Amino acid sequence: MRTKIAVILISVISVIYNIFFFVGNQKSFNRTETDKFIIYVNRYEDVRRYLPYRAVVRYLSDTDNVAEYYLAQYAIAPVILKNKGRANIVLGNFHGMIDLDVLSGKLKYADFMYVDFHNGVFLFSDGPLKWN
Amino acid sequence: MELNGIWPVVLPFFVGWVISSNLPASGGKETLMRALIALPFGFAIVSLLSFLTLLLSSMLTYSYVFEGALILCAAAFLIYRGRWKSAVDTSLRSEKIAVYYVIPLVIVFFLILATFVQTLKFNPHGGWDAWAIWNLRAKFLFKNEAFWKDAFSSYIPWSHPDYPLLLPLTVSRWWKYLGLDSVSVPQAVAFVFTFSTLILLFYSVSHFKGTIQGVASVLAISMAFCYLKNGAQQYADIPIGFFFLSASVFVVNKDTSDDKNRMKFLILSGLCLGFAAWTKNEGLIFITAFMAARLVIFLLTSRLREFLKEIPYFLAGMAQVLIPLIIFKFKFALPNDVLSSFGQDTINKFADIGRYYTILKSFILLCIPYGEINFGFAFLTSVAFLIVSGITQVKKYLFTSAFLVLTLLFMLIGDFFVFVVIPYDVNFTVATLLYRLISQILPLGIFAVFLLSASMSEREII
Repeated sequence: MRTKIAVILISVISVIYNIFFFVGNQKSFNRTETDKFIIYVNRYEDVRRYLPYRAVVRYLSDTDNVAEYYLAQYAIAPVILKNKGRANIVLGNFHGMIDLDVLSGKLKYADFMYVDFHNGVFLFSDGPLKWN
Repeated sequence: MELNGIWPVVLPFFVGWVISSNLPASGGKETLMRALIALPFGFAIVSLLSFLTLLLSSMLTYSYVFEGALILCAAAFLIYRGRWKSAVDTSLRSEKIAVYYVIPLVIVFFLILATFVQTLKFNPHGGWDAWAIWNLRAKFLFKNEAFWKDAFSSYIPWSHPDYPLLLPLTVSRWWKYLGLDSVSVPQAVAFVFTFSTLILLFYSVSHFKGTIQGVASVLAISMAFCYLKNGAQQYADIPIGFFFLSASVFVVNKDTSDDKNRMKFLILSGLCLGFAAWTKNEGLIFITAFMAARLVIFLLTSRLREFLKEIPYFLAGMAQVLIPLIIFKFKFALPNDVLSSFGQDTINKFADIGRYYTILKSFILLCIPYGEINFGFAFLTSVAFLIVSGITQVKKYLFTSAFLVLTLLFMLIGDFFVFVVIPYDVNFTVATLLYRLISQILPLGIFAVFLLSASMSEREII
């Protein structure tokens, strides 16, 4: 009998808690944050078309936000995105204005080419970038 | 297109059924439950097959041939088994359950499902580890299989290129069949593992202790909100927890069964231990904890010879997974970040009392039923149930429960010392990782507590 009463009590508590969890979960999520995540990942959709299937690309940004770097890697895989050292192709992720002259000095490419995706994302290369 | 979406599930189901059908069933309901938990085992086996295909050909597509052969073997085995041995063990009693237990269980099930779907909707790509580790690796394997080793590049050490491949290969194989990297696939895999764990918990507690205890155990785990949320966020802690539980259920079957062929459960348990290690590195800690606990419990009961007899059976199951895992670890994976950080600094960490205090405090805080991230309600409910029902007096259940409790204790000690030596900020790591490690052992913990409790029939006799 004691066991049966215990199970009934657990049942009541569990139903109440799960209702609270469901409501709390709904409140804790921020729709804007979800949209931001998806929009951020989708920014790189066209980038993939300019990249070879296998490459190591340098990541460059005007912020130190590692989450953005990791997400960029997630978006452009299987191309590898490294965040230091030199590479023939550079993926730029910028939130502010960029000075291309300063950037070209930084990249030290002999023949400087770039594609602007008009959403803060750029591809820089020391050779021509082809649309695949 | 529809067939391409279904086939990646059909094969793992049949292959997994070969394993789950070994669990004893007392009737139709338990047979159905065994079918419902077949998929995770199948995913594990097929992921090993995909790894083998990549090793041999660097083409996931070629696994179609192996898969065809495997499904024929599985079908042949199931037909053979069906002919020579009934899948339903009629010696076991099927128990009826009152409707007032079923109603709350159904309500809770739908609430869990709603919360799960809600979390998927808000996190379609999963939580941080899901997209930064598991799904990222799956993308490498799916999109450029000819250069699949790029997935373990040293340029992206933050993606933990030493983590095993059960989840990435399961997802990438499914994507291969679909022809696109849909976010629905890792979501479906997360769903399968989360709900299979709940079903396995319900099945095992019901089978050993009675359906009322089975209901109580699922209701208890439903009160660990962060456990369910981890599942929906596609974290690997839930799949590994499934294998911890299944390895333990098979061992409990061996310990409590009078079946002449009960040693086969140890092979299956060893296989599940291997699957755990093929899911996440913590699986290796669990294997150590599990075998150490087994040794200690047999030493305490002066049955060391029995333990020595068990080892070949465990190894026979484990080796099938550990051999591919060793090949992966030594040939492709980068060194583990915790192990490679060992040095003079590690000794300093061991001597730092502050680290012990931080970790212990976090362990205790997770047991307090307050806030979103805690296991307090699940823990207290299970312990309260144990106090109310009393401890079992059946020797074989006492023995096997003590073994499980000891395994959990060793696992917690192992996790504790991983935090002590971890080469990152201990406060940050404990805050972001500890609740996930507890999620791994939570189903097993609840199973152990309910196994230790006296069953209704036992109480009636008393």
